[in-house]
Amino acid sequence: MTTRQIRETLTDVSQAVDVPVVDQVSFRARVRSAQRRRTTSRVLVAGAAAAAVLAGTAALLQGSRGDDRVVQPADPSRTVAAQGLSETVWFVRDGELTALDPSGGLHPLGIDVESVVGWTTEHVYAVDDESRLVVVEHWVDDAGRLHDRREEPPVTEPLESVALSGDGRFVAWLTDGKVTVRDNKADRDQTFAADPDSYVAAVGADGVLLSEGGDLVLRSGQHLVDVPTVGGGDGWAAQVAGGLVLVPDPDGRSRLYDVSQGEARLTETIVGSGVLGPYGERVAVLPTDPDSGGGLEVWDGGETRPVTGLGATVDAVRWADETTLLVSGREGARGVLYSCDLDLRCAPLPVDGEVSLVR
Amino acid sequence: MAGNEIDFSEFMAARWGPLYRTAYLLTGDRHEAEDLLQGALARTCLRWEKIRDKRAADAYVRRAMVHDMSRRWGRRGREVVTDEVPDAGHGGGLDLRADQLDLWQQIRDLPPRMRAVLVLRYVEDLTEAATAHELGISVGSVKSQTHHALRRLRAALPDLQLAEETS
Repeated sequence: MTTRQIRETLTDVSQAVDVPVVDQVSFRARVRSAQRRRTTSRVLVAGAAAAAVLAGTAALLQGSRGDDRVVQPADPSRTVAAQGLSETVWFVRDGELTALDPSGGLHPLGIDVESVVGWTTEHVYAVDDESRLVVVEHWVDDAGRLHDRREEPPVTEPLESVALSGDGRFVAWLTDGKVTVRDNKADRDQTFAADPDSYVAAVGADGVLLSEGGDLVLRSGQHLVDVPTVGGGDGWAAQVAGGLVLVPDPDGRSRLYDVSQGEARLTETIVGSGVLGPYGERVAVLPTDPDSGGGLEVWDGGETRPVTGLGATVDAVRWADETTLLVSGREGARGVLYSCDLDLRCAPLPVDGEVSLVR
Repeated sequence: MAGNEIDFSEFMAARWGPLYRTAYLLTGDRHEAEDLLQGALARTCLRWEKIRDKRAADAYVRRAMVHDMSRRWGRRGREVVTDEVPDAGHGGGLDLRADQLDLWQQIRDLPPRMRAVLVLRYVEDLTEAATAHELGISVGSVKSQTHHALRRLRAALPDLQLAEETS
């Protein structure tokens, strides 16, 4: 038996459900309502992206309201050093927020999360299974032991989308029709109304990258840059860093745009689905056609080179820092995690279980 | 009529039924499905002139539904779907075999994105790449979500022997 059973069941369910007639009155009201929201949002953007509100700040990430410090000892069965890691990395393992330190210590934190948004050398940001932001401060003591402390997040409502910049300075989230961009370094929040169909794709020093009803726009305090998508793409997987926006398009190519001059100028088209490095200097590229026989590559300054040493089918890729690539994959039924360096050589990390790097 | 000459009302009349069925699979609830589809169609209506290939409008509506569903999920947190699957043969219920009702119930209990991956891959017959595009995630994430979904279904229904397919 195969997934045919799922296919058949879902098809039968869809055929068994009674389809209601279109409620035209309700539909027309929805159209008018969507029209009003769209108009309002556009006026806000054009008039004063401008009128962006500089909200007062709350030093919520300073740990003043956090839990007591708790030392999370490494799993004693883990003694193999995590080859290639210079800093602690974070992922979801069997549904739990988990750290792997450079000495190979695996630290399950006992916090159920759905995804890891990102991390810095001081904090890790994740989203729990109710779409709430989880913030954990972490540090290593003189003896090399990893400590963590859960902090009060800057937002407690469930989030519709959230992103952390590659350099860790900015966190952006969307909730209740408002986008908030928190500058951790300047310790301030900027909030503005969003188009009703918005999605926070990414954030960086260049602004927050929003997919608004199918249009990809980069918003900063004073500017709005329209970024093209190809083939009806929504740009949900787009990324921004170092004055560049990378858009993985549905035609199997990733397009790199220079947005540093207030407009999106195409600078490179890369075959595959790209993941932009934290400072925009290089791109990890996964083949979009699984039958192509191609493997993971890294685009670096116009040159694309293959990544070697991966004994797995690659599932997901994430930059741990500007020189380290994390790769999750599958060897048969077993989930595996690799770290790859700038020489594009990879080594397996001592992690088992179901690992997810997906944001 | 050529694809790009279709007007919106024609599109909606022709595609309401199939899209409602997709919406139902995505939400697992009749009322939510109608609400989800109406919202997605309303936004599609406003953008109709900008959709260059009207024959691809189905995909636009689907993406709008998936997007909206993930936003709703974020707003309401882990809310229990209330449209319980009735017994087969129950008035107004789904006329399905018991094993199919069991499987459907487990699929409804999956996280929305995981469920959406199954619907797009196995009902809409999208490739992994196309599914990734519709959901705004990587191809690798589609593989991973599929794997996790099948793992959960296997654990819940051990009599099923679900093997993964690749596109």
